[in-house]
Amino acid sequence: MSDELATALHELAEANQAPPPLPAAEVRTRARRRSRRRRTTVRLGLATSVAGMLATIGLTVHAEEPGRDPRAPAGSATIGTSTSSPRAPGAATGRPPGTEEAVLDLGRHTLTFDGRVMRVDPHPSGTLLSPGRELTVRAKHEVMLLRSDGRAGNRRGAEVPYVVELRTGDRPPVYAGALVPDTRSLGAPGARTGWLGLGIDDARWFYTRIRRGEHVEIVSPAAPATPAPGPDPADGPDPETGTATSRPPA
Amino acid sequence: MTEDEFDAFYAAAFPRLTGQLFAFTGDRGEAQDVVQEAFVRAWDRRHGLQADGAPEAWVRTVAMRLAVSRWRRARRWLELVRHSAMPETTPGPGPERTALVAALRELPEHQRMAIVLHHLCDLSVEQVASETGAPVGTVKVRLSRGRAALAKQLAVDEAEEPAWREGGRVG
Repeated sequence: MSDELATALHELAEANQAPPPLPAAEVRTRARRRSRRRRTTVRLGLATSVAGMLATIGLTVHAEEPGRDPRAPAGSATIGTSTSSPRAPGAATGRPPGTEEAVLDLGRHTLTFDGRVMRVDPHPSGTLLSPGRELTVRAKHEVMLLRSDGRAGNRRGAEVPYVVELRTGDRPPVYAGALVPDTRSLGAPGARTGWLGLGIDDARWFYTRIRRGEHVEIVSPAAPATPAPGPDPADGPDPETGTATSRPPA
Repeated sequence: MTEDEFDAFYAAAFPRLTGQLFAFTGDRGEAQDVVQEAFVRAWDRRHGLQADGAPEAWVRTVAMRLAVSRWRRARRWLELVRHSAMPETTPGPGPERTALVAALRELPEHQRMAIVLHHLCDLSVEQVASETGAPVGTVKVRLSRGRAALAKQLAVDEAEEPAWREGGRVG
């Protein structure tokens, strides 16, 4: 090793030593600040990546299953997939009228709408509630007087709240409304009329959310002898016979 | 390494490292900047540095790499600005214009680093090879050529009284 060169370099280095321009505390502060910034950047990057992945997955799933209601929960996702036709996904609000939004599963006794699965007591009449048929919301009655026929022994009828009137073309109506104690005195809404009994809360919610012109798709055949698991069938009108007349909401 | 230990290490090593980096860069401000930055990075790795037992060597290595990186960036930028190639070596700006500094500036980057590490920082040839990632033989060649170039420069600049004469032996 060259001692002369080493000596010259040491002298040069010693002559040009400089004190720290910053105190050590400031160095630590800078390091911590930089570390925090790095972590924040990593978190933001991860969040962006996750959001992108979720968006991609969502788009992929919807692209693969165009007939599936995007708002339906996982448990009810299979209800309408077997027979439902493709339909445009819509948001809970702002969906165009006339788009098919609700699914009535007669076999499961459920009415699924806007992500909510409601237990329903269906009383089909004839072919009014045939699988594959599509019902359209024609009217909504806050309170409706359902009148039974003479055979039921009750001509007074019953006031049923939150009734949604559904029809297919010019066919007789199917009413979806609340089963209340007052309907016990009701014999039947009519031989040519279908009836969907809902719990009072579900009926109110369905009445509030569904809009005129929207559709209810019927899937799976009705289970004829199966009692309704939801609302107490004893609370509902007898679907054998009867007529229904509406009156303006109270 | 606690905060107090880091502060003590910083206060003791900073001037020494700045002097060494000045020999390498030829610019005191640049030397301070790169050493400062190396210490900021060292804080995040303080536990590992203490375990290694050679925190000053780590800081010096980081500072030298930072200096090299800055030189290269500056050279590229100047090339773009001037639309012409820069000379082979990059003299760093600085107020100190001693003959040795000027001669060091004339050395290619690898030779200068080898000279500083070996003759100033007292690293063995093997340690220089380890730090620079070059084979031992290459380091020896760089040291030899660097010394020869320095001797030539200093002989031209200070013909009457050179700062030192080539005659040592590597190792």
